[in-house]
Amino acid sequence: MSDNQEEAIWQHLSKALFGGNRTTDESLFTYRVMDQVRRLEPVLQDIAWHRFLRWAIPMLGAGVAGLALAARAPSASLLMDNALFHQQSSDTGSLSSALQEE
Amino acid sequence: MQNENDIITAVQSGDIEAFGTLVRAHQTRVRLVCLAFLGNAGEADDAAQEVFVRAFKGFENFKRDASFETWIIRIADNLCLDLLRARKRHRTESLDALLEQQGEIFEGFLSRIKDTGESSTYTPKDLEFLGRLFAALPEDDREILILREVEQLSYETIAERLRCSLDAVKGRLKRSRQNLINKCHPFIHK
Repeated sequence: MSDNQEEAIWQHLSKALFGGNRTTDESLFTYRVMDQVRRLEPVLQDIAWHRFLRWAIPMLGAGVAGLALAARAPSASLLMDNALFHQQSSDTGSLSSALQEE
Repeated sequence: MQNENDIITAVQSGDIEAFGTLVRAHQTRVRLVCLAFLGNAGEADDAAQEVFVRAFKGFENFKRDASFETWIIRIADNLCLDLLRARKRHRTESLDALLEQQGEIFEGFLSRIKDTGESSTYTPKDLEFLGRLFAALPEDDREILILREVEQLSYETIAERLRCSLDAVKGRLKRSRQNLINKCHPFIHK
C-alpha cells in the first residue's frame, strides 16, 4: 500500500470513527442534561446564599462591633483637650516654680 | 447564531437555559471521549451527562484561558479515569472477532459516513458499535488514539501527559494508526 493510499484510508477512517460532530439523539441527550441542571438550580441558589452568608455575617458583626466601639470611646477632641490641659498645667507648674526660685 | 463567548457570559450571569446551547454544541465530542474511555454506549452516555452536570456546578471555575471544549473534555477525561479506576477489569472482545461478527454493520457505517460529506452524524447504533470498537483496541493504541484523535490534543501536550518525548508520541501514533488501517481497510474497499 502506498503512502498516499494509506493516508486516504486514514482520513476516511478517522472521519468516521472520531470526526463526528452531531448525533441523531442530541435533543434527547440535551433534554436529559437540562432536566438534571434545572433540578439543581434551587440547590445551587441555596449554596450561593450560604456562601454569601458565610462572609456577610462576620462582616456585619465586625461593622456593628466597630460602631459600638466608636460610640463608647471618648471623642478625639475630648482627649485632645485633656492632653492640652495637662500639658498646660504642667508647664504652668514648672514655670511658676521656676519663677518662684528666682 | 450566538457567539460562544456570549453564551458563556449568559450562563455565568445565571441564564440556565443558555447552558443547553453549550450542551448541544459539545455533546458529540464529550460522548465520544466517554465512549472511547469506557467502551460502552450506555455507560458513556451516563458519564457524559454527569460531565455536563459537573461543568454546570463548577461553571464559576471556568476561567476562559482555554476554550470551553478543552475545559469540558478535561472534566470528561478525569471523570472517565475515576470510573475506570473504580470498576473491575472486564474481558473485552478482540478487534478481529468484533469485525468478523459485525463486519457488515461496520462497512455500512463507513460508507454512510463517506457519503455524508463533511460532517458525520452518529446514530445510537453507531455509538454502540464505536464503543465496542474502542474497547476492542489494544490498550496502547486506544490510549494514544483517544488523546490525539478524540481529545484532539497537540503532540506536545500528549508528550507531557504520557511523560515521553515528542518523537515517541509520533512513533506510537503512527503505529496505532497503522494497526487500525490494517484491520479496517478491507471494510473500506468492499
